[in-house]
Amino acid sequence: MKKSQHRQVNISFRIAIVMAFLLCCFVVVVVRAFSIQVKGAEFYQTQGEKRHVREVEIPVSRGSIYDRNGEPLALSTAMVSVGIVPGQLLDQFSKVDQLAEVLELDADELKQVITSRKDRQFLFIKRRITPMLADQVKALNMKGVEFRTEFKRFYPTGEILANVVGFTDVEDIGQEGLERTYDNWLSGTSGKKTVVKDLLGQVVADIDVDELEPAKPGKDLHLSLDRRLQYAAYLELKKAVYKHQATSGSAVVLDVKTGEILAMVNQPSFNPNGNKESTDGLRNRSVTDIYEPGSVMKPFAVVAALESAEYTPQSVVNTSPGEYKIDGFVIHDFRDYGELSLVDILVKSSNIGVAKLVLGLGKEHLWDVYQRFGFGQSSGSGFMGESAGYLPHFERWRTADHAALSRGYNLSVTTLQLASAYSVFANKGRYRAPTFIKGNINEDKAIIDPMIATQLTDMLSHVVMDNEGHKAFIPNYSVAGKTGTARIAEKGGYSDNYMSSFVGFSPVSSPRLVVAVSINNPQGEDYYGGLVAAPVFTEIMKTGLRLLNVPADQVTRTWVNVQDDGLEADDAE
Amino acid sequence: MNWHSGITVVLAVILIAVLVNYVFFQNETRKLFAASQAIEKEKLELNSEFARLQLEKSTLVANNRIEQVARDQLNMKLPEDEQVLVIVR
Repeated sequence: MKKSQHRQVNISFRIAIVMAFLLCCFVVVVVRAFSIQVKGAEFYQTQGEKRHVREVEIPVSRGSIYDRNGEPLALSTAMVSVGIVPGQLLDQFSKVDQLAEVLELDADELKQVITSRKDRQFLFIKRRITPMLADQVKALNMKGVEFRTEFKRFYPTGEILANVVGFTDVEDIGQEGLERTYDNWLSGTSGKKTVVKDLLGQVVADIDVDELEPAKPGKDLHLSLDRRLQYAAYLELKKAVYKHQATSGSAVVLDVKTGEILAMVNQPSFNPNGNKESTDGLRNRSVTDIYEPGSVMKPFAVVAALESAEYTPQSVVNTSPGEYKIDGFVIHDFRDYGELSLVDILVKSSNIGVAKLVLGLGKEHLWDVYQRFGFGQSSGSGFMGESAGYLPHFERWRTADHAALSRGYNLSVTTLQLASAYSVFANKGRYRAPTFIKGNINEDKAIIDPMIATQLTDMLSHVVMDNEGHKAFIPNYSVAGKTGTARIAEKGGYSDNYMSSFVGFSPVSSPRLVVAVSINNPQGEDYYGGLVAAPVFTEIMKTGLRLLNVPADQVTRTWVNVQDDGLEADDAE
Repeated sequence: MNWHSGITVVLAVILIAVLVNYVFFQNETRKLFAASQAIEKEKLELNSEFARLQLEKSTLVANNRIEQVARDQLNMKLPEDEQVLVIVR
């Protein structure tokens, strides 16, 4: 009994001790909590913020753009952007002076920004500086100065490709050209990771590896363009536009076999690495600008005539007396050509000849032929901002319109459409939508009888070969093509300004390249397509044939090996 | 010593081993993380170096530069049309 009582006392004593101990602990905790949460609140809050867990972005670079041979056309390089936490710089203004000096900023202005925005968490003061310059800033060893990786876009080819490739804005989003067209492909998705940062903003630990969003870098883009040909074409076009004091110009080179665009040049252009204020040069005129093409359309009118089976290339049309009245309108030829075969209609580019041909056919037929060749529709290249041109519906044609359409008026086309349409003749009557992407070859489809395509190829080769000293003549290669000289429409009629063009392909025996050239509003004596655009065509075609190693098919002079130690020139028959 | 104390000792040893292990791998993680950060950084630097070299190369092989060097320094020129002859085999 005594024993048990003693035990009871003992237990209550023990409980009291434990309770007292726990109470002490509790008081300590409360006191500590008070001192931390109330007394030291400010201090701990700032300290905590400095090492808190943050989600940081993993920067990714935009995909590069290469030409068909792997030469870079657009590259992103890592640059450093400098930002500040204004609140942390308030007490080190002496160093801010140095910072401003290194970054070539105005020190007073920077200090004002720091004071006026001292509550901001972060703000950029200079974006995209070179890593070398960034090292100088890092050497200042300043608290509150942070560095982020950002990418800057460079265009090594400059103005040569500017309006085709386009450019990106400050946020690396494509604004024009292929940069915009293929923005989704090129741009990556920046990843996210959760990290713990220390006092100096350095990452000390990755946490939550599972919740990490991996960065997906942008994909590279391999274009069908050939930088060498692009350069040569650009130079020739620029020379011609300058020489003739033209307003603008464009040229397109297509590979007949694949529909790949090998070169596309425009004047005026701009420097994509500088500021892009010259809005005039930004457009890719080859696909955005439409114009009435003029005589380069005549071959398509001839296609309609041959399809009707009422004509053969040798059929004769009487174009006398060089004047022809339709619906109250009078159309003229350069002079009275008399009786012309279909071939000669194209060779002489007789307005009356084609008018008489198409007026004998239904309006719907001519419309259908133009439609099949892709006029009035987007070429299918996929270029953002591409124009479809304009082809009025045949039900709205008057007879005079019908005749005008045969010689390339009353409809509007782009230079790329002309190149694609001519490639049908070169590709045995099959149309293939052009492409900017290497190897992304569109399916072709038969749109005219291969026989007619061959006949047209032959007729178009006469256009160049039958005219002595034709500016589109290329030594050793046979050329087929057609000039165009169209008056440019203005409000209320046609002006005295011209659109000079030439579209053609070579070599005739096995066509490889189609080149379309158009020069807008050449000044001075020369304005005929044959004098302004054809020489540009010739130079571009010559370079193209040489660069692609296309075998000559009309050799005029050959080397024959007469002795082991030498070669001798021999004029072929 | 009964079996109770035996088990306590064993558990204590295991606990100490686990704790030491934990600290060891925590440290190891830090080291690996630091290494991975360094590699990430190096990758970024190499990438930007690569882009810079590509740019430099494309400046050096720019068509107009090559044309200029060929013309001015090497006295080369494109053959005239009359000079072009085709070798027939």
